[in-house]
Amino acid sequence: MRPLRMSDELFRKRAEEEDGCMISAIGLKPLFAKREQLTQHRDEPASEPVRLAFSTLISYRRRALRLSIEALAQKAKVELDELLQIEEDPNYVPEPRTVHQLANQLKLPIPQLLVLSGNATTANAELTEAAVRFAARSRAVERLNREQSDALNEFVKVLIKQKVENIEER
Amino acid sequence: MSSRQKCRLKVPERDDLVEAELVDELSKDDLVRAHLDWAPVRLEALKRLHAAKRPWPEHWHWDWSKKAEMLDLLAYRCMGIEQGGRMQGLMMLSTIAVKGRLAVQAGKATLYIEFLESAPWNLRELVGIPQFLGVGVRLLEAAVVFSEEEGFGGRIGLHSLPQSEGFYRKYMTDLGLDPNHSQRLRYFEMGAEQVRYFLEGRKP
Repeated sequence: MRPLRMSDELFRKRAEEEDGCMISAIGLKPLFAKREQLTQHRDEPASEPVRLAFSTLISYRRRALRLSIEALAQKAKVELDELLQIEEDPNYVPEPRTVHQLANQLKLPIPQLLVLSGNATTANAELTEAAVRFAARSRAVERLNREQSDALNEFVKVLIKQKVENIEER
Repeated sequence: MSSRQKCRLKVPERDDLVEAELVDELSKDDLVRAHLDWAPVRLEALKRLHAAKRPWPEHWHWDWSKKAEMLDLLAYRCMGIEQGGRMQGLMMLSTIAVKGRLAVQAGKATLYIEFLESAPWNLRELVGIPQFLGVGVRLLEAAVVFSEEEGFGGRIGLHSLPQSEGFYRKYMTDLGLDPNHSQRLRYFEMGAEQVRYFLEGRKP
């Protein structure tokens, strides 16, 4: 490749200009088309509280089972940073494998979690409504209080009761 | 065929520059190594940000080892800045030209930057005092030079995450939100005059 040619003097100036800036760019059509489709799916207004319900559900359920993030990551064989992302970023759509692993460790139904995580769709409106109600009642705190425990238990009951048939996995 | 050339990086609060190398064609193994090197640093930084209830950088979940798959295709090429045996910044380029959008270069072949990221220890937001400054500048410079070499006249374009828009706006034209981008990010382009300003300091 041809040599770089910015002078040291100008580079010093440019480097100072860079200080404090985040340096990142992301492509128009990254090869991860599946991820891209999911991202587009994220923009559907109705799905936002459902995804919030998913991240809160994982967090609450983990804490209800008295598992640290590290312990759950280890048991579920999921990267620690991905689990952090799942709990902290409702816009994040985990891979189906991750959802399967978490569902197994947290003893939650897999098809329903695939729907909540944005990996599958279903026409079951009741599940969506339950997720929205759960998200609305959720608050991020370190320890679950009675109200949060009740919200979690109710939602898990609905999850288990709901039949999610003919799901279309993405 | 990968080649290396000397370049320099700046150390904060100091005037002298340190020697580094631009590697113009990284392998998949290089990306995996960089990911393994960056991930623990990033995780520690995120824990600190989380404890301090501060926002996380928007690109924090990027995994360059996953982007390595792109190198199976001739359409992509990855470059990096190496110093002290560690990758200080990475950039993935599309070698297939896109059409320029700036009025002065509309339709002309333009080099597109797919991904660009500075190592976590070079971001003040993450570590307080960055190890090196100018990694992003060096990578942009490399993109411009590569664009010239490919016959694209130094023209480059990219989509910026919101947190980085301020940086690109210093040297590139902000062409606004791109409705075709999956995340509706803003598109930036650098034309010939801006190249002269960026690389040589000559005001347009």
